[in-house]
Amino acid sequence: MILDTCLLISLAIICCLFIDMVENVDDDPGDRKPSVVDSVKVEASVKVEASVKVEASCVNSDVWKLRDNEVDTAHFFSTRDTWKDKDELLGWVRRQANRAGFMVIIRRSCEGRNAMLELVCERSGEHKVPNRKVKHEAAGSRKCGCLFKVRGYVVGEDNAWKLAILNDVHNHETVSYVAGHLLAGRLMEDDKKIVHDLTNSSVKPKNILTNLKKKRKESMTNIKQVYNERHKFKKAKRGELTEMQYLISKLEENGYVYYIREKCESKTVQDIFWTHPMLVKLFNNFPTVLIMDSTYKTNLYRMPLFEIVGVTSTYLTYSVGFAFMMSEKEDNFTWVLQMLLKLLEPNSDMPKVVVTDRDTSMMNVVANVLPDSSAILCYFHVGKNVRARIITDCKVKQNVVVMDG
Amino acid sequence: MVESPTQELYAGNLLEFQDACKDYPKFLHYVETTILKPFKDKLVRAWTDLVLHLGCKTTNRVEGAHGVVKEYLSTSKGDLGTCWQKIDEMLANQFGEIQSSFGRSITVLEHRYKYVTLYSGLGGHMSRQAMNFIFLEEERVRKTLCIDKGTCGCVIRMSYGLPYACFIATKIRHNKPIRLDEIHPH
Repeated sequence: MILDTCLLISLAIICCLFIDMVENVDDDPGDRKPSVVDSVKVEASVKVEASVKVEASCVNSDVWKLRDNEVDTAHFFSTRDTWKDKDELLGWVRRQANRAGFMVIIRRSCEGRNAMLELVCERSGEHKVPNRKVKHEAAGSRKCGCLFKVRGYVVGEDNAWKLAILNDVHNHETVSYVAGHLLAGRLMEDDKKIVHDLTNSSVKPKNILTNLKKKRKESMTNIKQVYNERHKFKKAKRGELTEMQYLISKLEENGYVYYIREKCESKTVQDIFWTHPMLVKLFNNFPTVLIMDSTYKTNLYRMPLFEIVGVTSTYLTYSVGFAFMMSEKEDNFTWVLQMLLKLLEPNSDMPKVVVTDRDTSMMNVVANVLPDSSAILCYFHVGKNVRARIITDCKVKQNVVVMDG
Repeated sequence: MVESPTQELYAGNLLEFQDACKDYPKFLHYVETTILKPFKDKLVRAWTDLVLHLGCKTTNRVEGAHGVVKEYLSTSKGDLGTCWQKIDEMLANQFGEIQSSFGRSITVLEHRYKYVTLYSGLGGHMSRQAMNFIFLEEERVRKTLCIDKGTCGCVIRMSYGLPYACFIATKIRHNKPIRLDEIHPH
């Protein structure tokens, strides 16, 4: 008896739709509950009223055979509303899709007189096996051939956009929240700008993310997207140039004074010395004392960064120049100091005092290049060496150190 | 020993040191051959104070500068381009700091130097830090009332290029201001 009523209702729907689907109804398994059919009927009729452009061919048998994991989302999209432009329509559809628990992507769109926009579920289509080997073995695909499809189109003279549902059934279950989906946390243009600005002022990614979340409460951006955007930004900034070319272009752009020494045979750069024009000016004013030392752990090539600083009359430290060197050999130091002397104007004083740590090559070079300056050793470094020696030589730790003072 | 202000005191301290270390000949040998012989004049205060080092006897300043650079770099794995960029940012800030210190030195005259004949020729032409050195030296003069060269040592003249104690003492006695050309142009 139930089966009979079911069939009757189904037939009624078919009459209502004027679609030739008798065969489908005949194929229909009888275990479907009447309530489901009711809801389908209501939604289907609404759909027909709302959309003018329903293509009969698109409404296929799937509508009628809701299997276990199929979900009908028609009631989220059935509307008679019109939108002023494409973006508004897209925004509305996205919001509705978020509520329904899936994401939409643009399958096709065209501008002009017959402007249209075809939106599908992010899981539509099939996974294409790429030709080249994938990077990660644990790669997967979200594609499962979902047939959900809606289309926005322009009607009438006033260029209003309307929405037509071509297929409202997903062949997969929808989720309760969409965070982590393809487009869910996508950075908008203004978000990207924030990321770029903050990256420029060397803010850490996690702090950038916090900033974004504070700006927009509903943001679903995750840290990976921030990292990706930073990487893209940095790469775009460098462009096609190699690292060295980029460095040189930047130095030139900012009016830096720089010297480069290449290795004799090959074209590889051996040392690079640079300084700011303002610092050159300061150096010419205060050349009396120079303090030099190099430090490691500044770059990924493990080149030491050689730094020369001076003292201003206000007792502040200023940097005279920086140099990346291949190694801490006499040759390298000589070259850097010669470059440094080039910066001095002919009538200004020569550096009078040079303070270094107890590095023999450095001391020799200073004696050679700046013969009329007097060198001072860092007594802290010497004291450190002496203290180390005391421990090894005398096996006494405290009392001698105190006497040495 | 290293801090001995004069060569005579240094000789005395050296003897004392040798006496203290006589139980450890190996260590004494090391100190004498590797440090004191070759670098005595570059290390001991008696000699280093003869040159105009402006108070830089250690590499503290450059080590501090390294620290600042590394703070800006924030990673040890950057490429040269990023290194340069961070250093550029640092230089901009550093330069601003120096400029502002010059500006302050030119415009601000500290209250303790006002209406004092000694400083009347200096206001606005000298950095406040250098003025402070002179001020301290002047205080020392008033305390010790040194007039002969032996006690004053003239260290500040040699190593900072500033007027020294006995010089200030004569100035005070004659109630004259310090002239600019008596100060090193630094």
